[in-house]
Order: sequence, then C-alpha cells, then structure tokens
Amino acid sequence: MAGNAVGLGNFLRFPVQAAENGGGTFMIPYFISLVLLGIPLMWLEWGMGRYGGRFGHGTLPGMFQVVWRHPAAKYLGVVGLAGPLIIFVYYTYVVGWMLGFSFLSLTGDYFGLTSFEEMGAYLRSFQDIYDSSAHGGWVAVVFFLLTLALVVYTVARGISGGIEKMALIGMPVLFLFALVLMVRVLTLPATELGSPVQGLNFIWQPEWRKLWEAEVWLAAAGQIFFTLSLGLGTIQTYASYLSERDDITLTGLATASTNEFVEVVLGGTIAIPAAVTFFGIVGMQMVTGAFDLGIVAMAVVFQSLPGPELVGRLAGFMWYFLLFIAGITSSVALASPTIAFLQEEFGFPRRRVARLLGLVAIGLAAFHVLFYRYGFLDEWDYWAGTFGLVLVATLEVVVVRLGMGMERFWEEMHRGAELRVPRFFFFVLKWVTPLFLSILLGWWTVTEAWPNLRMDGVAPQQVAVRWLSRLVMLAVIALAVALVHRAWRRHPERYAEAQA
Amino acid sequence: MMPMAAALLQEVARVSAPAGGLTPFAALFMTVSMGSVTLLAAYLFYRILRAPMRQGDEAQGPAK
Repeated sequence: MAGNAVGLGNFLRFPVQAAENGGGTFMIPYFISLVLLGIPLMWLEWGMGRYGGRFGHGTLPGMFQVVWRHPAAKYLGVVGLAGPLIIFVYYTYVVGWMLGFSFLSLTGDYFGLTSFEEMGAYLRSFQDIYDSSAHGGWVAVVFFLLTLALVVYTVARGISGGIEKMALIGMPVLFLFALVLMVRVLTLPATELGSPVQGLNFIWQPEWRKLWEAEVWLAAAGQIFFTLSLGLGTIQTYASYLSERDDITLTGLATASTNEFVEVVLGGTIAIPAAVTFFGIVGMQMVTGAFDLGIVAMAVVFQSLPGPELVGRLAGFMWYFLLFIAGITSSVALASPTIAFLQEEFGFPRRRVARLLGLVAIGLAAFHVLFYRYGFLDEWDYWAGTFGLVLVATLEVVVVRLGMGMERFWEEMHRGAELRVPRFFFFVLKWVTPLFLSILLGWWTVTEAWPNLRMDGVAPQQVAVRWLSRLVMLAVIALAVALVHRAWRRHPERYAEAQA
Repeated sequence: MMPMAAALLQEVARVSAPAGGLTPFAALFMTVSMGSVTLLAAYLFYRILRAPMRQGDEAQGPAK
C-alpha cells in the first residue's frame, strides 16, 4: 500500500508546489490538510474497500452499490473504474521517461548540456516524436513499452506473487537511493548563487502574510490528494483483499505517515536544496512545472556536482531510477481496479486480463505519443488526474453519508482495529472533510475547470486535438458504463444477495 | 515586470536573511515536522510488527 501512495508526486510535484506557493508558507496548510482531509479520507477509502471486498467487490461500482442501495450508485462508481485506467495509460508513459532518463544518465547522453535551455530542448526532443534534435522520440516509446511490459508482468502474477514482491524489492531501493542523494545534496558546498541550507530555509520559513491567500491553501490540499493517492479507487481495490478481522486504522495511518516521511523528509530535501544551490532562490522559483524542476533542473545539477563525471552520472541514474520505482509501484496500483473488475465481474483469468490491459494501454498511449505536443496528455492529466480525484473523493463521502451514515461507518472502520481513532476524527470525517472537499471542488470548478473546459489560453492549433483527447476519455467512460451495466445484468442474483 | 522583479528581490531578501543558515523558526519548524513524521511512521510500524499475526490473511482476492 505504501508503494501505491509513494509516487512521482512525492519527488516531482511536491517540491514544485512548495516552490510556487511560498515554501514555508505552503507547509502550514499542507499539514493542516493532511489532518483534516488526507488522513480521514484515507480511512474512509480503506473502510469502503474492506467493506466492498466482503461482498466480492474490488472496485467502486460494486462498492458504491453495497454501501448505498440505490440503482444509480453503481453508475456513480464508474468514475472510480474509468479514472484509474485513464490515468494508468499516461502515468505509465511518464514513468517510462524516468526509466529512459536513468539509462541516459548512466550513458552520459545529456552530459555537456549544462544550461537550463539546452537541457529543456533535450527533454522536449525526448517527449516529442516529431522532434529528433536529440535522438528521436522513439526512445521514449521504447522505454514506455519496457515499463508497460514490467507492469503487465507484475499484475499478471497477482497480489502476493507480483505486486507485493515488486514493493518488497522496490521500496528499500527507493529509500536507499533517496537517502544517498539527500546526504549528497545536503553536503554540497555553497555556490555564488546559494547553498543547500538556503534551500531548506526557503521550505521551512513561512512568509506569514501569504498564509491568507486562498490559492496556497488549495494548492496544499490538492497536493495532499495526489500524494496519498486519494480519489483514485486504488486504495479500495487493495483494501478489498483484507478480511473483516484485518486492521485498517493502524495500517491506513502507517501508510499515510510513510508517505509523508518520503515526501517531507526525503522529497523536500533533494530537489529544492539542490536547485537553490546551483540556481539560487530566484532561479529556482523561475523553474516551474514538475518536469522542469525534477528532470531538466536536476539534470543540470548532476552535471555541476563536484568530482569526476562518473559521480554526476551515478547521481543522475539514482535520481531518475528512484522516480521510476516510485512511479511503477503506483502504476501497478492504477492497473489494479481494471484487473479486479474484469476478474470479479466477468470471471476472466488474471493473466488474460493483464495482457488485455497491456494491449489497451498501447492503443491509448499511441494518442499520447502522436499528439503530445498538442496537449493530449495535459487534458487527461487535468480532467482525470486532477479534477477527477476530488470529484471521486466527494462522491465517496456522499455515498457513505447517504448509504451507511457516518456512525455506522465509524463502527465498520473499527472492526479488527489495532488503533482506536480519537473521536475528534469522527467529527472531522462527518463535517470538516466534506466541507473542505466542497470548497476545493467549487473553487477548482470556477477558477480552473470552467476556463479549461472553454480552452481559455489554448493555442488554436491545439484545440482540435484537445477535443479529440476529451472524446477518447469519454469513450473510455462510456465503455466502463456499458461493462458495469452488463455485469449487473449478468449476475443479478449476486448483487441482490449483496444488498440483502 | 517591475512589481514582479521587486517581489522576487523581496523574496530573496527574506530567504537570504540569515546568510548561510536557517532562521530559528525555520529550524524549529523543520525539526518538529520531520521529527514528527519520522517518529510517527516508526512507531506505527513498530505497532504493526508487534500486532499478533492472524492466520489465513494471505491476500487471495475479495470474498466471493
């Protein structure tokens, strides 16, 4: 489960969000959001997953149905089935870039491109199939296919045979690489532009007047969502494998705290202090966008490390490979709801479903490869990977409130519990979290979703492809609706029994 | 551009104030935050390892 929670967000998104929202100023709402939004929702998703698993459901359509006995519930749950599949496709494509960059670091392919501009052009060539200025876009496709093959192989082998084994090997390697890089970054000598300590000071010294800006709070709440993998439907699928006697309160909190350790202690002490040391505070703040800081700026940093070039190559390999591990464990988790749904509702063998998923992912990823420069991926990332998460989480809270009521859910959550959660969190889960979610959803709808829907500021040559991107997403959702409809018609007795 | 440049300069002045070091608040905030998440994670994993192992908990998929 920690492998699911720890992902690219810890090392790529967190530093950028912190940098863009005032460093220390960001950290205060970040921790408040963790307590009022992240941890309660984590327990809610674990509880819903374990409860649904008891009735043979590992995905949101079935879980929503058994929690809220309403004919519409299963269709609301479709967002928790189509969403992870949509995210899985582009997320795995991006994880493939990390594998590619770890390899290119070892070979020293980009060494010599020591300015931010040169490195940015190199990344664009890597991402764009039509730009062969560095070495051609096919390199990214090859690494995507390798990554996808590993994901398919892992999910085909099942929970204990594949997913747990991957986490068992991957997580210690991730911790080791992150610790080595953290020590290296913190012991870097100061340059004319800055020092690692100045980077730390930036992250931890709040600018108090900025604390009243709503954007900082919303950015912090958003980060908590992404980092804990909330609203994806993956936590529920993993939790559905637990028995009624298994604890979820202690394990859920342990997962959240492990993720926070990785994000705050490791993620917060690598990218920003390194970037501040070599670019200064002003330079670092000008580097916006997760890929610009995590890939471009870090590649320049590795080339600037003291010592022989081999040190920089190894550091680069470790950084991108730890991103690859963090990403691939999340990628495997994102594949799980689709696998679980087709297995449970249609009785397909796991290996066959895994292969089918691989083929579907290749077909859908072709759009990203061909239309990356036109913003195809950006559309999916925004609607499924940003707005969709908050929407799914809001639906989860609504369904639990309508179907079970918070009192009954609280009891359900404490079955087999090794940790009695303080009653304070009952109040938070019942009132504060829904309010927080409503504000987040409402604010994002007005300030981002509506302008994005109208394509404000989108270059005219991108508009057609962005509409195509939305149509493909809608087609995936329509397919998920049809599959849910068919599954319910196929085994009406199973669902009637589940509702009894 | 000018207000933006001024804001950036202010920001530089803010974070560079204790040249080469952390402000007392930043040091405290960092220590408490990092210490809390580290200790919490360690304590919770200690609790998980100490909890009695249950039989038949091998993940086999949701109950049918």
